[in-house]
Amino acid sequence: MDIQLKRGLIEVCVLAALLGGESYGYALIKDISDCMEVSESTLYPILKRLENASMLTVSSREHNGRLRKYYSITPLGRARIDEFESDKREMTNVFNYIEKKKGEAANDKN
Amino acid sequence: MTKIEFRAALASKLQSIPLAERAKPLDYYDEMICDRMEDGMSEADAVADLGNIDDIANEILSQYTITSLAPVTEAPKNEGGSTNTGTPEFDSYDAKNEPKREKRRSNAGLWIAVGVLGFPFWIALAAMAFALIIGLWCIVWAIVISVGAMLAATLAVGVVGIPYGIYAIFAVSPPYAIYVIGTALVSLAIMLVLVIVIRYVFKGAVWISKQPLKLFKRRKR
Repeated sequence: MDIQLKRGLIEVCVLAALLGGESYGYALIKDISDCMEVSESTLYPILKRLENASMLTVSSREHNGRLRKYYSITPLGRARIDEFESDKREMTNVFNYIEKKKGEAANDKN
Repeated sequence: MTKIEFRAALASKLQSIPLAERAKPLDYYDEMICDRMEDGMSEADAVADLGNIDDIANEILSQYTITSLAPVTEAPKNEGGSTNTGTPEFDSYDAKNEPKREKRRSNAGLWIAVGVLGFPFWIALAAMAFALIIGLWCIVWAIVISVGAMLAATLAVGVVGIPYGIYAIFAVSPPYAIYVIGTALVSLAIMLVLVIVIRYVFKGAVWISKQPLKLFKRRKR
């Protein structure tokens, strides 16, 4: 898959995973693995990017004697999910269009 | 590998990142290891599960590639699911550029070599420049002194001439006295002009004298 496209999909997956409430590193990876296989090194820049775009916030809290980072979604993050869902319509249009054109090309040959 | 060994190994691969920035990714992977251990994995398995350490290091380093000087903007709306946030570092996964620090280091070495090898040349050049500056300085101040001397002379003629002229009306003859007094007055007039001239000449000389010093100060900084 195109790397830009994949990164975009992972971003939306991360945001969707946070819709149910805050989460932390490894839990997030396990959660997303239902949807896509993501490694820590792929996830790291995406989390940084979402934070820079103010689509999620990071807070540090103590857990079992160490500091753990917790990620939460923001209104901007929610808007990004909505945007992605509306993109679905357009994408479906394009897929249907491709199907149609392929069909026409096959018919023309006959 | 233990968690601490992993952190040290990764840190050594992140030397080109500023120290203040290094902690973030290191802490991130520390957390991942701890979370896995809490989940029941052994320390060695948790570290191994992260994958190849060089791949991890490269992924982190690629974020610090400066590809453009575009300011950071909010994530623009894009079609087709691509995700440019406008942050220059994150938008390029192209060939990693050499970090700027390394380039500066190799240039310094080159300059030192040139400086040492070209020693006789630089010395001669410096001596020449120094001589030129001294020469210029002498010319400038000679002008000042000349004008000053003219000023003194004209003043003297005026100061001496007028009383002498008045005396000469009786002691010698009126025509002669007129000649003397006339000369003295002309001399005084020239002196007044020179007074104005010498102020500018003096200021100019001082300014020119300061210029080489300014160049020195800039280089030292």
